[in-house]
Amino acid sequence: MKTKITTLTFGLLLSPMTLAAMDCSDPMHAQMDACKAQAAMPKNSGEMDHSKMPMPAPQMDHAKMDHSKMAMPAAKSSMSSGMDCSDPMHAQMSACKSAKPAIPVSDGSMDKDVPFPYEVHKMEDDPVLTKFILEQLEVHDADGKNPLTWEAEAWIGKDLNKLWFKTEGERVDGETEELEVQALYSRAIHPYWDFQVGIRKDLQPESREWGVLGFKGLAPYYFETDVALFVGESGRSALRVQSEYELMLTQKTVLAPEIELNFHGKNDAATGVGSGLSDVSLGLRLRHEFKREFAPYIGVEWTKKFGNTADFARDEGNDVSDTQLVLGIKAWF
Amino acid sequence: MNNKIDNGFDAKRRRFVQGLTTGGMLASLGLISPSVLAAKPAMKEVKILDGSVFDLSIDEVMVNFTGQLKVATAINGSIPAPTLRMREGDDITIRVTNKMPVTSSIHWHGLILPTNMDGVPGLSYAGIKPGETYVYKFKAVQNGTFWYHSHSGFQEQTGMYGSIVIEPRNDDVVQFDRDYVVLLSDWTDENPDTVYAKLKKMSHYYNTRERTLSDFTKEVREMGFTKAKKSRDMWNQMRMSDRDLSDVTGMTYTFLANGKTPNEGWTGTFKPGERVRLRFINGSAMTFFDVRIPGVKMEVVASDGQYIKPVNGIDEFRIGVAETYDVIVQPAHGSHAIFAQTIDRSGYAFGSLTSNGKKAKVPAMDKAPLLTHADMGMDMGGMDMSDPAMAGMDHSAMGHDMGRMEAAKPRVKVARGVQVDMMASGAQVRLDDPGVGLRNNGRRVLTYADLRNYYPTKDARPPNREIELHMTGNMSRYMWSINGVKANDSKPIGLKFGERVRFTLVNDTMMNHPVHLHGMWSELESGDDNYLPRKHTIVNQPGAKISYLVTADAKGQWAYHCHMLYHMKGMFRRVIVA
Repeated sequence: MKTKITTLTFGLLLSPMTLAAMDCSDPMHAQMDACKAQAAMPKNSGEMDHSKMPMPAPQMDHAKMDHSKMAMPAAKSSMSSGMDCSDPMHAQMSACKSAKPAIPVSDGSMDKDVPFPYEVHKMEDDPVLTKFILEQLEVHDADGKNPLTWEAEAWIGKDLNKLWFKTEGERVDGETEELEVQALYSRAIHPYWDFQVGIRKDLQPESREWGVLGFKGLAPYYFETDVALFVGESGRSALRVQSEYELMLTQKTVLAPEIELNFHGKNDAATGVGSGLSDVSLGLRLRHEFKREFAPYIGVEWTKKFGNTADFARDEGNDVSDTQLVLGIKAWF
Repeated sequence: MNNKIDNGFDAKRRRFVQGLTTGGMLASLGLISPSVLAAKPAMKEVKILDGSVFDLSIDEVMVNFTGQLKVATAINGSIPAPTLRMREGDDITIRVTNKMPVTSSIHWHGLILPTNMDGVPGLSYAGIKPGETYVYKFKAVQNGTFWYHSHSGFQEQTGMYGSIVIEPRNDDVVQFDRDYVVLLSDWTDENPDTVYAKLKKMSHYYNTRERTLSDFTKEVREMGFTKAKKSRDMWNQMRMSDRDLSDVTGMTYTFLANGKTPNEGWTGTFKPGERVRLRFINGSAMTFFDVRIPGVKMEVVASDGQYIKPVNGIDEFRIGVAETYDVIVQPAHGSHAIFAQTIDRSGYAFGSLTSNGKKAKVPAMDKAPLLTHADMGMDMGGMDMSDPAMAGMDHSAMGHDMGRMEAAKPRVKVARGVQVDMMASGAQVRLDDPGVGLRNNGRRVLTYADLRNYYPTKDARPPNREIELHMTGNMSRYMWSINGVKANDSKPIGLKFGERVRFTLVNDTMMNHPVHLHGMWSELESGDDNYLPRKHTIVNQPGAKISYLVTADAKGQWAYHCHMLYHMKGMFRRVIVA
């Protein structure tokens, strides 16, 4: 900075430059208060009283500047007349905002497309990709039964359009007690959100079929969120809200709190769900990413059933609320 | 050697080249695949080819930069490709034979030549098919430091790049006793298609220095919870990270100087008192380097191969992908490190300048920087300047006045939607901003505001119109576009032959975009219209605005794109001059 100012001073001494003619487009000059003062002038500066113009402030080494050679601009001159507002530095100045030579601005696009002169593969920025994500595969520590549960997803597609598959389920003592699969068309509708539509099939504990409408994406504050509305036969409906946050403890160790809420439109005694808020689960999993794609974890999951769902559970002699330790792996490729 | 800082990086991977003879050993143990065996080992030395007729052949070779044998694409068997030395005014003939099983191409980056010699498949020709030879013929109408690289797929990433030095026809305006090319590049053992797929599946895959809990607790200790939370709010609401400096990092990259890993260390010799010309070329796919030679002042004499008014006393400069800078140094007796740390400080390329035959000591890397609100193009008028994120910025040095900034509303249509995750509402021209990580670092850092053409501006006409282009993207989906429209959905940009046009770029992303116009000079509006520096690649900093003038003096269809290899396929336009 020091060298710049010296150069500037030197330049001013050599040339009998007037303030009006000062090239504020020069980045060195642009920092000068004199230039800032120009910029500060009101937009319609045609009739300006220059006696009110602030003189350069002392913090720039003006002591070395020969002000006697710096004639003040003629009174009532138009600020804009001598200024090159086409210059990008000037363009920022308010004086320029009004005075900028009117050259047309466009995105330059041609009206019509023109073929490539030679045959070529177009720029393939959007290849078909696949991703398989094992969100959770875990064993629960639960009164000797130690159920195995999973949540997995897979997709195939491009940036905007994907086929999306989801499954979750539970096995206890070699028996699949819960199994749900979904096949969805997923369309990116927002920088962070996908709209998903498709079907869900429950195979266990009872066979149920649902239509699915959902939104999946990243909410502000990095909440990975999936909200899905399910519409089934016999007027059945359900809403599932899932959200997860990843708190990085280190570059490889991640603490992931998670919440899931399920609502149902009506009672379904066969599957043990009741209308209203049926259950909530809160999970906290601590994983270590040995590599990005593979991380074992340990965690705890708290679940609680509500309303009629809780009543169904009590009738069956099951717990309404439970806290379980989990041990599992998360992986993707 | 500690090649990395604080990012949980696996040091074992960095056991560099054990020598290429290992190849035979591994092969006999059956540890490498047949396709690797089919390729010949790469040559260790980079040749210099001198003259006006050149024969180049493209073939797969076997390389070992990391201890792993990998197949690379190489020109004349070496990485980098041979340095081509030619003379201004000569008629140049370059015969390029493609010995690979896939179509290839070579583009002469920064050379002014007819469009059919420019080497862009689809625009110049159909590419060079397997087994074919394409004969390039053009006149070397300029002098300086340039480079050449494949313009097909991701072949550039896998080794297809080399230097071009064109000697001036008349006396050189710069005096020097020695002349070295320092070509910086990035190598990955991964298939570039895999790298691209990973970025699409998890855009922060290669970021090994994400924010952690302790960063937040530290901020809480320093400024209290309320302020700490507030300083995080903008980022959290935007779902972006101030640690997101490079898409692809040292996690997968090994950084090379003239094809040498940091452990090997390229070495150039000099005699004390000599003026040494170093021609820096950034031939990376995705890496910005901050270059310095500790203890040695640099005189920057050329930018993108074009002489500028010498800028003395430079300690450090940032070189964007595809840019070149020529510097003159006069080192004292001893060994001096040429240290090119990456913008995100995830690694470095390294070489030595020596007068005693010894390698220089590797300097420590600087602290990894954080992006600021300015880098996000935030309108700073309403900003809390006590924000620690802003503390590192010298606002007075940024050439603007805080109070009066107005939001830079797009003056052209920017298609909002999935393609665009942010707009830089307060994008400012920041010519004298050295960029994130280099601000107020106590060194004299080169900025674009320092660049003045050595010669007066040739075309003194003011522009007759302006083309505003927004560099747009969706970081988390890893999609890139211009004005919210990706290349495949875009219409070409039309220029009238002979017209003078201003291009204004607004960077609505948090990444640097080095924008390269083929066939014509981009004359950077760096502050003096009478001496506009001519560049082929203009870096548009995150959240910043920049403008340059173009005289449309070359008829035909030209490529115009961001030179970040994994941005380019979306951030690409055809420019048609007719």
